[in-house]
Amino acid sequence: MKKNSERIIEYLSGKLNEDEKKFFENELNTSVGLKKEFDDLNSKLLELSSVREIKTNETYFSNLIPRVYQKLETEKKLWSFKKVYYLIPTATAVIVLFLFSLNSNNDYNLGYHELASQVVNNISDQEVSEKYSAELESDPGDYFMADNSGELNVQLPADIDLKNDAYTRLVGNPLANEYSTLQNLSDDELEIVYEKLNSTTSQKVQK
Amino acid sequence: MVTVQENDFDLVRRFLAGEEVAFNMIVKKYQKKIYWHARQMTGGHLDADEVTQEVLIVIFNKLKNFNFNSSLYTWIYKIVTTRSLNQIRRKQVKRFFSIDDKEEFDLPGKQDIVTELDAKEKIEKVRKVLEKVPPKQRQIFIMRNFEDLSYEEISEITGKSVGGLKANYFHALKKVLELTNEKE
Repeated sequence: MKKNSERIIEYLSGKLNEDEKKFFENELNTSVGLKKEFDDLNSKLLELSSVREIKTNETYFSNLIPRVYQKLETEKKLWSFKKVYYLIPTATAVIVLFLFSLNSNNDYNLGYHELASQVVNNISDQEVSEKYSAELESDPGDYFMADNSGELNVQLPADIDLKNDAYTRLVGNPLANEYSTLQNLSDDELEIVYEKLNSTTSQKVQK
Repeated sequence: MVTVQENDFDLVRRFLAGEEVAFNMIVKKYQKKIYWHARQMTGGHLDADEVTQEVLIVIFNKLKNFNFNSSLYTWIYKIVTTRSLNQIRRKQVKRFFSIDDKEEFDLPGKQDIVTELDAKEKIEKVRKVLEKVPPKQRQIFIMRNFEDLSYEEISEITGKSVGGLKANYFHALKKVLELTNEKE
């Protein structure tokens, strides 16, 4: 049989079913020993619960609301600070990205400049003086078509934009000898290449 | 006659309508309950104070999400119980990573709202017993013994089944009574 203390705890914690509860309560009314144990345990619990009635310094509770508002205010400020704290790196990131995009645009331009330079550098002075300067001014597209026989020996940079595929095909592949291929280059791309080509060619001519 | 719940709901509505004084009234009504639950759970004034302030700030910020489906008291209690358990966990984690073996409970310090010697002794006795009861069992014990909550109310607050709560309370009670006997 279970010890009385165990049964009392089961009773107090509501673990007994209705029949067990009735049986226990009957026994509690008849057994002096069980009643004494029950009262002892109960008085211990009541003693612990008596902390509910202890007196406290009421100033703490009257100051609680102002302290909470103060903390809320601090949190608000902190949140504003946090917003700035997060805003600065975000703004920095945006600026960096913007600068990077500008820079990459420059690289992009530089790629064409280099491409143009390479085209020009691989053209002999004689060719320039004989044909290019005049022809470029008249119709650069036609010029490239005419000389698309591998003589120009263009060395494209490895990281050149895919858009230049059209240009590569135009120059590198003898079959791609259609003027329409040049049209695959955007106006800006063509302008960059030809302007560079034209000015460098002119410089070579002047030499 | 206006019930407690209707009165609370009215306070919430007033607060949501912009009356800050309604929040003050809610605080005044529940601050002691909040503090004492946190105090019994964490064992010390400093932790209880931290939890109490935290809870009041949560109430202030989250009252707009109160859905009027449960009583305000239950809603607040959910916050208090969660925050108190979190405070205990935080301390346990700190203790785990700390070189010196600090107590889970605050040691009684000079800074306390209990000033009378007799009261201090009583509360210290309870603290020493409760600190040896696992937090979840402690939580049920506090709600049953110090706050007179029914299993149904505790179930609503904690989300645990009544059967599970009874089992938890049984173990808590057993442990508490064993510890009380040891001390004598």
